Amino acid sequence: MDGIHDLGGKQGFGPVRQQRDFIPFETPWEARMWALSFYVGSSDLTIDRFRHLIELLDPVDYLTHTYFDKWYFSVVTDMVASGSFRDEELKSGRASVAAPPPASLSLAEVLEAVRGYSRSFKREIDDAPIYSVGQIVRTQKYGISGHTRLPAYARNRQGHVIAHHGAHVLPDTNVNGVEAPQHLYTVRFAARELWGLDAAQNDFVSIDAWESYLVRA
Amino acid sequence: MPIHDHKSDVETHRHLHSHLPSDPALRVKALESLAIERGIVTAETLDNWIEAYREHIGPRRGAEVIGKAWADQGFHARLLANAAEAIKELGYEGQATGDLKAVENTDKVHNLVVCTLCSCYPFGILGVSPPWYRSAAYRARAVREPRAVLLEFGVKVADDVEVRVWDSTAELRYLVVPQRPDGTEGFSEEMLGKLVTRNSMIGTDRDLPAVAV
Repeated sequence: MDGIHDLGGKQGFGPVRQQRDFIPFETPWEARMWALSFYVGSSDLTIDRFRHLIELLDPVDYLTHTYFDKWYFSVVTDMVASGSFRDEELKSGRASVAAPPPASLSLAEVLEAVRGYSRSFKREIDDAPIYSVGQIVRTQKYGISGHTRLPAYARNRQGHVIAHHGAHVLPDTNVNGVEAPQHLYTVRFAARELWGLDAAQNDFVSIDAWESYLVRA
Repeated sequence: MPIHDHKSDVETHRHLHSHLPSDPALRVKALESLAIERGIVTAETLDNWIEAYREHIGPRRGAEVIGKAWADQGFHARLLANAAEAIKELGYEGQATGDLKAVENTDKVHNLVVCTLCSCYPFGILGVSPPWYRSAAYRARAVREPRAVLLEFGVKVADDVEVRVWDSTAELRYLVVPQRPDGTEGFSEEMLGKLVTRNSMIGTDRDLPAVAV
């Protein structure tokens, strides 16, 4: 969707405000939200629905809410939309129906669980890839209204395929829980193809693009 | 799985924004208490997740990987061929490393990683992302004026050095392999790892000194 989240190339932002020696987290509630995000979410909440719910925040909220506050609204919106939580419960912090606590995870068990999160989004499909490494391709001209991962700055631009990664889960459908894997390519653009002559002649930007994001050049 | 209507999701966002306290600390506290009463998770488990990412999982892991790649040619080759598999040799696979790719700096190439559409980051190998990485300014500017952004980080990339910006639009996550500093011949993997900064693995740092700072 043509949302506020699609920030690549937008102008008017000031310098990047850096942090020296950042150690997570900036505030205690952000640490709690980070940890909660591993547990709170309905079965609908794929990585893409999680992202899409953030994209659907009001544009002003998107720009003013901090990173972990956007996570909060993504997971609670999912829980309310799926009927798992009621808004009153979120307000009071009291469950309408209590349940016994699960077993706690020790630090060692958490560290083991982290390793289990190393999941690839690569899938086997029967279709042969349409494009090959070295080929010149063009990206789709128009955006789509739902969740997608082709940034607006890279639409209708010519680049070349520098890698093929096999088929990966398609975000556009995985937002609704349908993996529909497609071949995934890394497409490199000359910065001047994207930004014109202001860009340095030897700068390049690449995106990872699913097959349906591309057309023959 | 239902097909979600994004109009109704937008409506839910609006409704929650108008019904819940504006202070995120209060909302998150209520969410935690609700999750605990519902039997979803315990406070102790949450404490341990936080400790895991404060004390154990962070850029030191990535730095060790780079130190090993500098010292061990075989590992270097495996890392560049398939970083997701190579980091398993150190037991460092984790969140968002399942499709990890390593990209290497050279005298003539500088790599810079960004996620313009959200803030994708290889958490398992670099820990929680620094706030600047998720900032609107970085996400907007890194693809359009990478050399200006790099200058703000104190990195002057020579005109004849190619800048390659990687916008992480898929589940692939990029890890920059910085150049090994001069004057480090004979250093152990461990000594080398100590020279590697978080920013050098994202690409906002380039010439690493031979002495740990």
